[in-house]
Amino acid sequence: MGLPESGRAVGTTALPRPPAPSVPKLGVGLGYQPELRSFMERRPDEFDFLEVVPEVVWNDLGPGHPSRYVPDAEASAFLEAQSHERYVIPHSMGLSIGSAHRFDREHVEQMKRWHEWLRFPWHSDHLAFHLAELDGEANANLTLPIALDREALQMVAGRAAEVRRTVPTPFLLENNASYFRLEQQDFEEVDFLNALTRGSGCGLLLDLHNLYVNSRNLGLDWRTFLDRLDMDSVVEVHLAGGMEMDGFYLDAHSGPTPEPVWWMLEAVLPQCANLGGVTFELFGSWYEPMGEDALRRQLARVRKLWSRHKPEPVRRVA
Amino acid sequence: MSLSAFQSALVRMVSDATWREDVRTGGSLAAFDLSERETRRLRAAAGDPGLAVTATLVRSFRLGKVLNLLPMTRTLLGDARLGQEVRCFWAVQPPRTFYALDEAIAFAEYLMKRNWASPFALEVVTFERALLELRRARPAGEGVPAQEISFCHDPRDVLGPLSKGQRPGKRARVRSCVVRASLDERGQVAWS
Repeated sequence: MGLPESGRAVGTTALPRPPAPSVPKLGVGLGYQPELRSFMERRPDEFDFLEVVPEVVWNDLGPGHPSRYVPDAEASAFLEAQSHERYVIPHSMGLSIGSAHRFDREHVEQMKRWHEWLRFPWHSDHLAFHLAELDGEANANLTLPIALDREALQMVAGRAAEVRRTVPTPFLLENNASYFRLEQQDFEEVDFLNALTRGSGCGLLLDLHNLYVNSRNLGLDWRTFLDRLDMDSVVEVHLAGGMEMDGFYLDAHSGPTPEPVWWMLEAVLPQCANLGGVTFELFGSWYEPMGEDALRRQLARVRKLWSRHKPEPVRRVA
Repeated sequence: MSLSAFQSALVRMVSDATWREDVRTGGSLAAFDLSERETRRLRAAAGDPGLAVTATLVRSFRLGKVLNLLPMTRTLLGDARLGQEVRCFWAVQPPRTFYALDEAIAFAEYLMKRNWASPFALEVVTFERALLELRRARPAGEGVPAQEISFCHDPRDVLGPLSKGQRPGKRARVRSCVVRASLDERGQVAWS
């Protein structure tokens, strides 16, 4: 394929870096889950912003439907109330930006409508795909890895740039967790991410737990990854916990953040000049087993590290 | 089309274990318009334990939707028969949606077309599908159509035990009737 030995892309790393996305310093984020509503209402001072997967809050009736996105009234009312006190940041899983068979512009338009509603300072999605053509459109129900090749880079970069033009706020893509590796890719993951953020102007949502998952399952060296990553592109960081299954470590969002992920956070916080926030993710069904005290300890630990390296979080004024 | 075809094949591999094994052992990929590199990737991935784990996660996610939303059907059929039916359904229907309700309704509709030895199976599946249909997301202002369920047995003798996690007995009285379910103004199910 004519790649240099490092596997870095010829012609993309040479691009001048677009201005880094500029976002307010929001501080500590917590992922929305219906089971966490009570915690969020009782403990409003323990997190600074709320992150929400929009697909949890709406029902998607499918492409082309005249009223495609049907909001969940109760959840929407909760987000509306929260948005008067703090920023509500969408972290979507529905775009499937890596799907080659189509680009879902209706989803992008929906995010534009959400921006008009919630006025978030950035939004994000996953660098992955879950939709593919299979006697109709199949939905894998899981973010699958895209092949880190030039063709995919060109496709995703073009789409990310289009999202940026449509939704007038910075757009981030999240590094994916995967349990298998695709052979003979043009890029290593970190080089693909650097080339993507340079080529499209999108920011990076650096999911440190995903990086940990890939280091556990695929043998990826997370220190080398972080050494080579363009830290100026990092706008948000994700933390989470996982579990073991069949000899694999899963990105299950099932409990406290593992200690090595905290080491990663301590390493990257001083380097990410454009970081807007650090978000802890927990699936709602794991809240009860984990317990309120343990959740509070996670958020407090993030806050302590944030305070050491970053300015006082910006509060939203209603 | 090559990248698109590669992704189609990958999704099929995580949703169809039989086909994945076929690919692993050299089965044809000619139905997909793949480059040589993509073909090599798929064959290697097919034998990767990590892909099997990915497939397990996809299966667990799909199965969870069915178990949560069709509890009476599960009790009536038992886990072994339900598992068999789920596998048959998945062989013809790849995952189509994130949404649990849509997946469970599609599976219920598949079950309704099956031939059943159990005298209660069709009415129980139809009953649970109808309840899910009432809860299906609809655009604002669109009415929720009432659902009619035909019973061959007294519904109390069938649904009563199932609601307690027990299978209906042979003593269920034969009684043909049609039950109508609709949503009232508070969004609660009303029966007539």
